[in-house]
Amino acid sequence: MMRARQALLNPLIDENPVTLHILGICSAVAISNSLYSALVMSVALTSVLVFSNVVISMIRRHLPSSVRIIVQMTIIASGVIVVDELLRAFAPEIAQTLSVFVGLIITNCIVLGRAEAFATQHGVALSFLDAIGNGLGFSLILISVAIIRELLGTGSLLDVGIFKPVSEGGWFEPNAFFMLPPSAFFIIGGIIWAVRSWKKEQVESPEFEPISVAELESD
Amino acid sequence: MTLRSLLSKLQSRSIWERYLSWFIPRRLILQIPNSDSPRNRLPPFVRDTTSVQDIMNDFVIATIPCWLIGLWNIGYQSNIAMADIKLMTLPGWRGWILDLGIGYDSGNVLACFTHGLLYFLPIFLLSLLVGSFWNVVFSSVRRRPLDEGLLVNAWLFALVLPAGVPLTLVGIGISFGLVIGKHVFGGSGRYLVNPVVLGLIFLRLAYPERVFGGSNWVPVPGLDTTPLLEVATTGGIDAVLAAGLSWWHLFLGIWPGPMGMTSLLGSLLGAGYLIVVGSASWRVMCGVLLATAGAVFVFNNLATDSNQIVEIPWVWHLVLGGLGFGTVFIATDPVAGAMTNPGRWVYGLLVGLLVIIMRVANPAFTESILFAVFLASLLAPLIDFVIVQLNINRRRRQGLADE
Repeated sequence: MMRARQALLNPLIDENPVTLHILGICSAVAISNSLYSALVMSVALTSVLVFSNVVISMIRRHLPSSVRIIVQMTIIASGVIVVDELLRAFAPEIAQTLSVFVGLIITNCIVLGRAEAFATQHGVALSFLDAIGNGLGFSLILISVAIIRELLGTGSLLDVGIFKPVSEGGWFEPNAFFMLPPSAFFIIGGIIWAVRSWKKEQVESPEFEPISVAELESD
Repeated sequence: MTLRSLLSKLQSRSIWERYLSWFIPRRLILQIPNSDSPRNRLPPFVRDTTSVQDIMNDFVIATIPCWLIGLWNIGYQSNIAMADIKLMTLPGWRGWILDLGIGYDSGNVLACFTHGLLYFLPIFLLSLLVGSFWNVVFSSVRRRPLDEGLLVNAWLFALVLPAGVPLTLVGIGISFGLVIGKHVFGGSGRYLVNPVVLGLIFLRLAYPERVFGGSNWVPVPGLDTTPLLEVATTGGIDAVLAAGLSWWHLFLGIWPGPMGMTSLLGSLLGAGYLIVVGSASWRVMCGVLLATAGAVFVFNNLATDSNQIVEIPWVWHLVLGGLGFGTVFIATDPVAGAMTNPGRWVYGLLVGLLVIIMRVANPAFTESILFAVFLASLLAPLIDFVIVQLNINRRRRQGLADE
């Protein structure tokens, strides 16, 4: 029970795939300029992750380790293709907005990372919970970034006006910088900074000790 | 008490470092090595009285000619424009001050300068205030001394902005530049990209119209000025001449542009000062100059008829836009630029090349010197690494290096 809880809840903050392992940055940067596409992306990635983790965990005892990466990639690719086709069939507009990035879920390191690090060594139930947890962990960051970017970049969320822009007589200056992909780097960096200030155990040990000026002066 | 001991007492840390060294570089006034400073006794063994503060202040002193010319120029351009549209007084508090007998005569140097100063001061003071706030926040959280680079950052930031920029955006820009560009890396001496450059590029990308729109260059209500480089891009030299600007106008800095970046003359005076006191590298400046001339020469000879700026000769490129100011005061940043001497040449050449490529091939960012410096400073650590490795390999071949 304890392990199940850990598999599900740890990836949210303590072992978040984006902020601790720095995985899945590409799609977090590319997809996060509007909340709607971020939500769809979160669902798509979580379903691919669940599918691949469960399937790989099922066949983990039959998988020769010399070809395991190829087999894992095939399974992930099948999942991605299914999700891509479903999106195109039932939500063609959003599929158009996300364009290649649905297909690029296959290169998202979180999926292969969890398959390799977790599903090959744990049972189906645990792998399922781990996939849900990591999918939620990724979604948490992606959605937070998307909220910040859409709100500061346009002043609205999901097309509902929150801040009234100057052009419509309000006070808010839409910040075009947040519509550009590089802004997501700064926001993710800021989130990582905040999380590590809160959870000190995530901070890496320093590579060298700088000489402090106070030490120099007192000597 | 001898004169010498009196001087070294004067020079002691208590007075100089607390108050005066913010404004006056110590070694310009008193050349006596300050041997009691722990800086001179302890590692890393640099035996020099020059402090980081002194080098930073050198940049402020060196920009004074640009500052004087630039502020006069803002007032001059505004006063001419006001006479043209028969505007008798400025609205708001600036008009109230100028109406106290200073007036709007474009022939009066003092009136023009005061007019410009009224635009410069709020921007500079706000940058300083916001910067001090971040300085205090970061130094108290990290328990480190206050950062030395604030004065020069705020000063240069105000100089590279157009006069009519909204003050809220100045605050946002300098905050982004200082926090993301400097404090997260640990302050002056550790940053990757000059905070001023980062702050300005942030504003350029975030609020292109509100900060760099046509109405901000000459801050007279209702006046829309096309930036000079855009004029040159679309119409070539003929369009610049048609606007009533000769090469000498641009050289002296009499054209509507950023507050302090207009004058090549001022930049040359500043360059002379910086090279004499040794605070900036002449290699970087020469590199930029050489690469600019070379790239323009290549473009001139490969000219296609895509846009007019391709055919502009290099003597005009030097005075167009803020190239001189950027080369002398921004590209030579001792922290963000390359540190090895051959590296400085490479870095300077890279900046010059990028400036011209961006001007000629990318009409969206014609005022390209700060973008060029930004990209080149990101590459500076790589340049230094390659230079150091080459040197190690050379010494190893000669059997000089320790294995």
